[in-house]
Amino acid sequence: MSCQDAVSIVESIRRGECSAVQTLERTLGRIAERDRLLNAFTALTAERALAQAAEIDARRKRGEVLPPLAGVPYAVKNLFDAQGLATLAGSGLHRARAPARDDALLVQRMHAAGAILVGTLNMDAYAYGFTTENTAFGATRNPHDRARIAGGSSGGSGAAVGAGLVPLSLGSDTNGSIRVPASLCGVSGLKPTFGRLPRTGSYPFVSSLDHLGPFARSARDLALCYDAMQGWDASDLGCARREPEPVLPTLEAGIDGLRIARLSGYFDRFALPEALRASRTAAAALGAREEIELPEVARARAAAFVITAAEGGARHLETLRNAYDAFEPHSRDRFLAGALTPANWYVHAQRFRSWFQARMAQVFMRYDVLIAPSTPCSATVIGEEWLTLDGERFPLRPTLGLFTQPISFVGLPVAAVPVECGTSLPIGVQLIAAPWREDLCFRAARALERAGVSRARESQE
Amino acid sequence: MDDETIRRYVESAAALHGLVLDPQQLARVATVLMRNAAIANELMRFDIPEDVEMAPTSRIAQS
Repeated sequence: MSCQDAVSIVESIRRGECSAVQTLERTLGRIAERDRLLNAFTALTAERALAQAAEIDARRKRGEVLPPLAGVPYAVKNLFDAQGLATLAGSGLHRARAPARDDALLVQRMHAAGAILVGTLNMDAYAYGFTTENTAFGATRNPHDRARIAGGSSGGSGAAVGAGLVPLSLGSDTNGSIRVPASLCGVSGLKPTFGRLPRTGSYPFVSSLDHLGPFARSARDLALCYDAMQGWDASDLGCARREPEPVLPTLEAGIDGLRIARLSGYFDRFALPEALRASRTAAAALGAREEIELPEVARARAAAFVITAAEGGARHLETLRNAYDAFEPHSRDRFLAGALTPANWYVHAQRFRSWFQARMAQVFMRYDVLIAPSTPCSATVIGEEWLTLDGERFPLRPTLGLFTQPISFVGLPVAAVPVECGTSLPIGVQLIAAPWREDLCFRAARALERAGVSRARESQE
Repeated sequence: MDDETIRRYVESAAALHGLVLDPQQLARVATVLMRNAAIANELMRFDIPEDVEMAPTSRIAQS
């Protein structure tokens, strides 16, 4: 059985129906019982969590007004700095790193909001993957079918929430690493506008594409978590100097008057039946009668691919030179090849990015929310190497981000939400809005929940 | 682009970057780069107007 949702936990603690320590102890018990089957966690921070929970309880006893996430247990992808732990970023090589002196900024903000960090979560090494099949730390298993992947690279974050171990987690998304595991684990995830949430104190992958964001089991919980983390930070050059724009106040505003369309073309061509069904089901539930094709979206994906390969490869070149054998086998040759990317490809990709950004701005003059599948398929079997889409065989691991890459490429905000459409495994859709309009993503997500089309399944595994 | 061209490119480019690849590594990296090249070629065939600059890599436009 899953944990309570975050909002219920906060209310229970405020009313004195249970304590933060009791909530935490139940959470740690669930993790102890089930994570050995899922391998979502790479470290637990039980001692620190108990101290924090006790402090929340003490504050309540003193009659203080509790902060918005008081007593809510959560966990973070292990590329977030957590004080006292080596920041692994999914790499066995990082076990030897000195422990982080401070928490990542978003972890500090979650702490200020009263949330309680219970541990760090498994991921693809250096975030270069969509499956969380990690040679050093083991594969993270899908909470709905343990023979299958949890997605990646924030697989531990998706699985921990999908299994109901914690109500909230944090992950990162460069090309789909929140949205892919959200889809495959059947939970909600937010990739906000590029530059919305500061990345200070997290291990980078591709600076021009990295986003951080939350996972949750409902739009309301996702909104609560997201709102608690907003705000500029000068230390992150990619962070936009914007005031927080909370989405919780307008969550129930509905979708009347919103211009919503379903993305077809590329997003249909490479979709397996379950992904197509999810996209059409969401569109029908939101009353989206129009279908549109984005211009040059395949090239947008190609450009994101090239930028990722080049920047990621450059970042790790020194480590590859000195410690190739200890590097993750699933990605080391991809990083190496990326480091050898011809400059002209990279420049062309970044120029294309400007072009595509302008085209998408035009699209958002006509529409408010766009719908697309998050993944071409539901969760595949661990170890699977190939995926056949539209009659063509693709290497599976880079291909799961086919639908997410063109969108994050230009930094658009996306709520990735599960859609119930009669499939045996979970699958989700992207609800995409114009830059800085996360509020519209959330309104659409909540509308799907109210229509009975979107919900997080209980894990039976 | 043929396998030999890619292989020679990888060998030379790796050397430029101070990387010494054994034959198996070379072959694997060349296979990856061949796939990357196929993806990049689709992109490179697209003519972008001359006045379009590279996207700013650290900030997107503020609205």
